[in-house]
Amino acid sequence: MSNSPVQAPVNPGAPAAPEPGRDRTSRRSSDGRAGVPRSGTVRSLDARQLVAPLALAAILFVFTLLSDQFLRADNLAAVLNQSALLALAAVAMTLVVRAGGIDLSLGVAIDLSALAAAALIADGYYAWVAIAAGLGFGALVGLVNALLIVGLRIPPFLATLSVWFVGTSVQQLLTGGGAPIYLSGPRVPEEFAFLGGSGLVAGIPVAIAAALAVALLGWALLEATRFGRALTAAGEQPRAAAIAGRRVPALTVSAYVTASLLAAIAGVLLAARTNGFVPASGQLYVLDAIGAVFIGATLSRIGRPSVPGTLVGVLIFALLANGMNLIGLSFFWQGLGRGVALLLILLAGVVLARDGGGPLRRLLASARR
Amino acid sequence: MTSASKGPETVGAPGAAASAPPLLRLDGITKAFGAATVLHAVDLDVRPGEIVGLVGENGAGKSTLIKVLTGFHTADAGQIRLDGRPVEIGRPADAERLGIRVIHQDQHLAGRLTVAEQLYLGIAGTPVARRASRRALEAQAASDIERATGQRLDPRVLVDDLTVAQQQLIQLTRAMLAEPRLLVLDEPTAPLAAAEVQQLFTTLRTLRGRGVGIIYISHYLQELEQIATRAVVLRNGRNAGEVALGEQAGDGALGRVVELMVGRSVEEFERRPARTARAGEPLLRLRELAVPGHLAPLSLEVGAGEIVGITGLVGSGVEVLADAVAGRRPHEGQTLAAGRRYRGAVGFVARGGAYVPANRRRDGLLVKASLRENLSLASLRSISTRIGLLRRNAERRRAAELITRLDVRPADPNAIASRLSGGNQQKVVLGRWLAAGARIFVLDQPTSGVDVGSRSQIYQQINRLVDEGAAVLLITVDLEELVGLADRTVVLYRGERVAELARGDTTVDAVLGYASGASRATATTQEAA
Amino acid sequence: MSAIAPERQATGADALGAPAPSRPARAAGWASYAGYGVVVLVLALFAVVSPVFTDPSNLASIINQAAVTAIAGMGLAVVIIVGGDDVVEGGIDLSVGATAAVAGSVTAVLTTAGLAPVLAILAALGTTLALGAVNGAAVGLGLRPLLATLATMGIATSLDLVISQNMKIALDGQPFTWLRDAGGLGVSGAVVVLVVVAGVLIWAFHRTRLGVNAYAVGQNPTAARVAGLNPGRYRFASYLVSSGLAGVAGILLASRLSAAVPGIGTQILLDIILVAYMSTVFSRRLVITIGGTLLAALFVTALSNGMTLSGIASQWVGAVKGALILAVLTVVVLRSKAGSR
Repeated sequence: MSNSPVQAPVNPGAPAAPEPGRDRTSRRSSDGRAGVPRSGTVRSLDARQLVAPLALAAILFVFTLLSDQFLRADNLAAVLNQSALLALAAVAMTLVVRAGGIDLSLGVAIDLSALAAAALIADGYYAWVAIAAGLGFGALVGLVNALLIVGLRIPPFLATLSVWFVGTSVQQLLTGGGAPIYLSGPRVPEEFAFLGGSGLVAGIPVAIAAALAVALLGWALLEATRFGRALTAAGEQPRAAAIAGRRVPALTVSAYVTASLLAAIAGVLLAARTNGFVPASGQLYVLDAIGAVFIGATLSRIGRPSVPGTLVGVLIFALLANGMNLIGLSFFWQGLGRGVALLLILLAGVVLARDGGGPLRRLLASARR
Repeated sequence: MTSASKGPETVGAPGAAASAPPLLRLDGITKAFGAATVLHAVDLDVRPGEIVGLVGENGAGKSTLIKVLTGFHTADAGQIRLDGRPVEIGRPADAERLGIRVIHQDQHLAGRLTVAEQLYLGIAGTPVARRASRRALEAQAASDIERATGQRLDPRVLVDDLTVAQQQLIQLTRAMLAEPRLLVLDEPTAPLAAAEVQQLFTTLRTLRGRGVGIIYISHYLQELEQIATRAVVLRNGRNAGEVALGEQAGDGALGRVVELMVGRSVEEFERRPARTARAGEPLLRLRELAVPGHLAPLSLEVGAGEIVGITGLVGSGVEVLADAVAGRRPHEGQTLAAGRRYRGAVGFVARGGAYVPANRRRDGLLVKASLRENLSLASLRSISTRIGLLRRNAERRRAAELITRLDVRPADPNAIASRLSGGNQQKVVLGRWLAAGARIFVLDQPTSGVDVGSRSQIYQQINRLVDEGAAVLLITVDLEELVGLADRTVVLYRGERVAELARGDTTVDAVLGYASGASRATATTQEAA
Repeated sequence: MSAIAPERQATGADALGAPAPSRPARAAGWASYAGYGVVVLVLALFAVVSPVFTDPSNLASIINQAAVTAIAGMGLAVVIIVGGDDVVEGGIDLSVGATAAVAGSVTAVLTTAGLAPVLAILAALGTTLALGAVNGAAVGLGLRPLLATLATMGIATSLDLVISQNMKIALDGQPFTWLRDAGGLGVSGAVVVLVVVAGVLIWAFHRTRLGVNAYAVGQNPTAARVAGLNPGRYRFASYLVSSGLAGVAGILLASRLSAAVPGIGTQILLDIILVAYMSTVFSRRLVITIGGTLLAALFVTALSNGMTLSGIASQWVGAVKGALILAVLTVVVLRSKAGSR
């Protein structure tokens, strides 16, 4: 299907191809703004970028008013602990979205790795074996994704959707129909229990430490390395990146595999924390992770997903959930609140973006005349 | 027999009543955009059943004239008359109502619809009632197409499965369904093969026989001669003259057209001082490079310190050549850089290649990213440590240096690339390759959409690179650029090399002559290396 | 005659080789025959392995069960047709499952509270249409359909929980029992609804200009605009249709289960997506079609049914479905490579 990138209003009167010879006097640059410096650097501020911080501020403000427990240290610590696994999944998702795709099968990576770890522990293997197996399963999911997306050129949404499908039933198969695994306390090796939160790393719970470590790693990877720079280019404009000599297929593959690996870490931690495996528990993380990544993207002047942005998104979700909990909102209303908040933030991000908003923007623009 | 004089003069078209007023008369059309006057009192008339060619270089005013005719612009002065009566065309709907239709180069068609469905898309009040069976619709479509164009098309075929020529038939029929008085065709034969061109001409003759007036815009002068009775030439927004075409006109007609298009006042634009040193070892070698359906096997060498220009019209193969050489498009034949074969863009860049593509915003620049990021994209290794960590300071320093060297404005490494003017954007793209230390440059329309100031700066950079030993393959349709920069010029026509001109022989009219098919090389060029 | 004799005229061909005249056969059409072939083969296999499969009562049961997925799937198909099947920027509605669940809950809660069933149904459909309007508005404002419907899915899921308080709520009485129980010919009222909905949609999309316009909008919005259509209106409408039909499906589902079951939305979502995309395989043009979605829904239901009858464990069904969608995608990718020039 041939699409010419014509912007509304359509002007079919303009011939498209350049023609031989040129009249110098009527030359003008294509955008008619020859040499005029335009404002807009990656450091300057756009209205859109304030949406997430304002939302965060609003949440903090509102819930501090509504509940005196909200701003307490132990509460906030609990929030961080709760959101650690989501943060892990969201960092993984950031990687994939930065690479220009999306990964709906992240939940499967989490679940399969949790399953593998729990199952092996239950069978009496050493902790490190179980952990390695968990990570291996996660990487496998990533490899399958990469094969479908890079090898078969299937669009990421559909490819990871089908892996989600297949993965869900693989879980069913491996657990003989969806039976959860429970690990009895005494049989769990120390290391594993440690991961589950029985101990602290430098004074902070394991999960938070892991999430922080992964976040730092992810942030460094994306912003401070050659790989990250190339990956970003490949995700935003694959053709331009390829022309500049970057190896786009390899970059894409590594993004999906790494993301699944990170999700697998979350899976192992999940198994350790819940002392076993409950089927399909990883699914919950995927959609929130996607939401967090795109909320985070509004923080960037150019709408680019980033690890810090994603963490803000995670924080927004976590604080919102916590706050709603504290004021006694039923669990069900919480979900509603979360969903509405996500929608509003995303909409604000789109409408306030420089060239976004579609008809609304045009309406506002014409009113200004 | 009649040879055209310099001034506007028309020869009556065969079959038209000499006494009837012309179908269309544009009188003294003037149009300015701000300070720039694009059309100065342009005249044009078309008789019923006449095919008039409208020719001129880019920027001569052809597209603006058509936009005035079709209501996208309003003339500042002048009058439009239909059948002798003055009319107002303020909006596209006015033009449509008056029976004026345009067939554009960009065919906006939905790929997975059938011919019949696409034909009647959005056309209210077609003879086929909403409840008619598919078969009735298809039968109607087939008959409409045949009646309108004289050619047959299976109405059940999907648009995607049609050749470009067949898609054009749909467009033509759609236009004809509106029973237009005047049809404007914008470069219709550019994507067509020879046999299809003849079929199109058959269709046009059918239309002409019905009394439709046709304005035919094209650079393919040799083809224009077969179908149009005269060529109206615009230059710099003014009428430059008219030339009668066809059997009565005689041999020199196309030559006259080219002369009128180009004029006598072509300045030497930034012509590089002729260098005495011969070109160095061939850095870029193309051996029988071919792209099936677009480009016949082409062999070429570009030496160090040399600029080889390649040009041609749309449909000459020029569009695919750059992609093919840079490893972005599958091709037959071999490409060698610095003596070694390379495959793919990664290979090309690894051998010191640099590709500045025609579609700057999609393929050249990272539009969302900062200038700094753009400048380092092809040379990340040189600003990172062994384990891959970026050395930010080094990057910043280098970016600042490049920005200064190339005079990029705004001179801020953190500026977002999309905010820059076209010229500055192109400097950034060039800068990226300077940072990578490239030696072999493939430039595809490097100054398209670039302002005059940036243009000359870019030329200076290119000259400097070449003086330092780089090899440049300059693919461009800007003939003055070609004349000013190229050491030798290869002209393509319909996928084949039809001329190779040495520096001294490269003039705008010579190149245009070969590119449009107006002249043929009398002597074949030397064996391609 | 001009001395510049164009050699092209003489030979009728040029160096590039004239392209072949149009080929009426669709190059990628073989894929759709392969699609039908696989379906027939698999069903035949089941018939052989388990004779019960072809029992009229079993077949009727398949159709009864397929109604829900089919109706919601057709709604989703409308969104994809109008939005274009480019999966990043194109049309998709992830909220259909949750919306169906909401419809079921609203109906059940209101009926249980004593409201007349007809009014309860209207209220349910009204809610789903409101959700559809939210989707349509969000997409119209420029939010990517993927994200917009993702957010709405979250909202709808929670709405469902809020309304049902995460409890199963019984749904009984007329017309729900009519919808559920096998009547004449062994088919339930749901099938009647299915036939009506499918009939209207298939007629609209395959036989009217509205349908052609919808496809045009999805395939090339610029071409549609040039032809005088308004893509924005079509897109907004498509989300209303999708949510509305999801609502209908949800009510049918609740009727069949005799209750609104919490969390049912996520369970049916993947199936709905599967059948909508799978419809490509049944189309000669390899595009998403309404009729194809119906066939796909029947096939997928028959597949589960057949597998159960053949004694295959239910776990494998998911794997098979996943493999199915992969096969479909590969076909679609092949098509887009072969068809585009």
